[in-house]
Amino acid sequence: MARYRTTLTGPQMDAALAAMPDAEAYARGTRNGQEVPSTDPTYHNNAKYFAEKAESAFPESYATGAVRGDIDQSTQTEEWRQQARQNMGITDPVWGSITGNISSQSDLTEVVSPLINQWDEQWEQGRLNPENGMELASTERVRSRYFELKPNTQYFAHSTVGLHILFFNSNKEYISAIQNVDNAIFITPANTKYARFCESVNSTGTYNHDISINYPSTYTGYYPSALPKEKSHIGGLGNAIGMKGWNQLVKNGNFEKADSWFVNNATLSVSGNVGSVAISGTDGNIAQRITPIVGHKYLISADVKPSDASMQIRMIYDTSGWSVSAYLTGTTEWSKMSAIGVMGSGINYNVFYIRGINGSSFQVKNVNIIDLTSLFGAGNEPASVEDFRAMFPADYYPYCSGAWADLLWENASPTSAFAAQTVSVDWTLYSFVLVIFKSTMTGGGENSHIKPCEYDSYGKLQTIQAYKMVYRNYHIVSAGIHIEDAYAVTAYNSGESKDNSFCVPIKIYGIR
Amino acid sequence: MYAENELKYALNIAEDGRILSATFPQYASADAKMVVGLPEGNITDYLYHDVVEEGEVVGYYYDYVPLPVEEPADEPSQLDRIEAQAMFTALMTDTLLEV
Repeated sequence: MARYRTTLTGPQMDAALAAMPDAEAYARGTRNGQEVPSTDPTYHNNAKYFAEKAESAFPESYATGAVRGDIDQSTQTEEWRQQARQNMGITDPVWGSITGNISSQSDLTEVVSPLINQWDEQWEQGRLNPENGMELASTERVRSRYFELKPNTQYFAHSTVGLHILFFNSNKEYISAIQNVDNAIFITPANTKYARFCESVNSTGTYNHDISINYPSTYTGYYPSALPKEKSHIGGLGNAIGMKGWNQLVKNGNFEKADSWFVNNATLSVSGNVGSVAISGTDGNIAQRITPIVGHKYLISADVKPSDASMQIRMIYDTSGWSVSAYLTGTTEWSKMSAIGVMGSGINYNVFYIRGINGSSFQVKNVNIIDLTSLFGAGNEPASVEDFRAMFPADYYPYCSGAWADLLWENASPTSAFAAQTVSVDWTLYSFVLVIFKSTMTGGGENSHIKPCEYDSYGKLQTIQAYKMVYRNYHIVSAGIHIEDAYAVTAYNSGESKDNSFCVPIKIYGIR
Repeated sequence: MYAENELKYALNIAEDGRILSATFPQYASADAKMVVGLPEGNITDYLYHDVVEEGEVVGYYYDYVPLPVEEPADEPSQLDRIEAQAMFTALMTDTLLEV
């Protein structure tokens, strides 16, 4: 929905308030006479928010007066107008907001917020009892799976018929339900962590493109879910379409295992999705190598519990210092560290690390790095961690590069023989692995083989080289991909000889 | 020791120290040996050794120990080739007659 900021007084304002449920919040910064809190979806769109920003910029408060409706146009200067526009992040003149000179809609400026569909677009056959949340069999209803919503938060539900929306707490225990919600705003009850909905099976047909649970609470048409989806195996490529843009760049950030983490002057042990880091000396860290994009805005976050009151979480040292940094001091309790920053140029070290200083060992969990620019688009990134959390409330999201396929391993010496070995790659996030290999270590063309991860069978790298059939098998093991010795067969019904100069792997990709 | 940005490669090493393969740091496992350079030629002809001083690893070196060349399987004799061709022809004939 387009939002128009304007200056209305008296009956005009009252009419506007009556016409739009959120008008009071947008125009005055209050709802039913109470101040709109910063967690309210309307907060960053309402007049009070912009008024405060403008007022802080020039205490003469002319802009405040303009936004609030009492303006003294004769005393304003273009310089002040320009300053107000800059502070509100608006490049075009906003005469309606700044001066009150509104003669037509063209005088107004449209403000559109990015919409996020909170439903993961996964549904199943059956219905839900709105009295207790129990699943019931039904061929006439479809229902969603659990998806996360924030408590006491306003959302917009879009459907072609009324939805029954059920709310659950963090233990997935039923709280309450609202019924027959049809293109309407609803507010989640306190203690909400999850929601589900159900609706008639014959009402839509392709449910995924008709139902939205949007935040902020507006609807301008169907928005695909930007939320991460679970991997499916065969057919997973279809689901991957919806993942475009979504990313979380830390591997094993939930410390289910210690893989992918490097330690410097420290040891890392994991248990119960918590990493325990013991620092040796005064300064140690755990780290991951990542490849950021210069100019992109990133969010970093982690829950930490220091043994001493000194903690840092940092990302990428560039020529001007650390691009994104968060610090924690003065507590030894579990605390959430987070920051948003822009990746600078002149990257020296491709490292993201969590560091204990002054000898502070620590516990850590729920580590995330989000490339906000890839997710929201340049210029549309959330301004604060709180804004991001309002849309993506989970403490942790699984690793996702945002791409369909990721390069998991590359042979740094492709002109060497390749003996049987296990290559350490984390294939668990993918549906397939794709192995690119050369016919021989000294030449030959590139070949490829793709293998589904879910089948416990051998893949075979195989080709013809100089009148010989050459091959080597590979299969997936818990530690990665085990690639066996290579063999050459010289003639029909003759023996085969081991020769690891053939079928040399050069790259391994994971495909979602 | 070496600075973080000097380490260009990660080695996968067998228990006896033989280099099995090399990859780049961003694809390395946590227990991979990080090095600044690779030996020349076929890297699997080398063993990797840590340099340890007073119980601490302070460097590494490569030892050139090429693997023995395995004898290729016996080349088929002329009779083997004739028998193989005869068997292949028989199989193809059977296949055609089944149609």
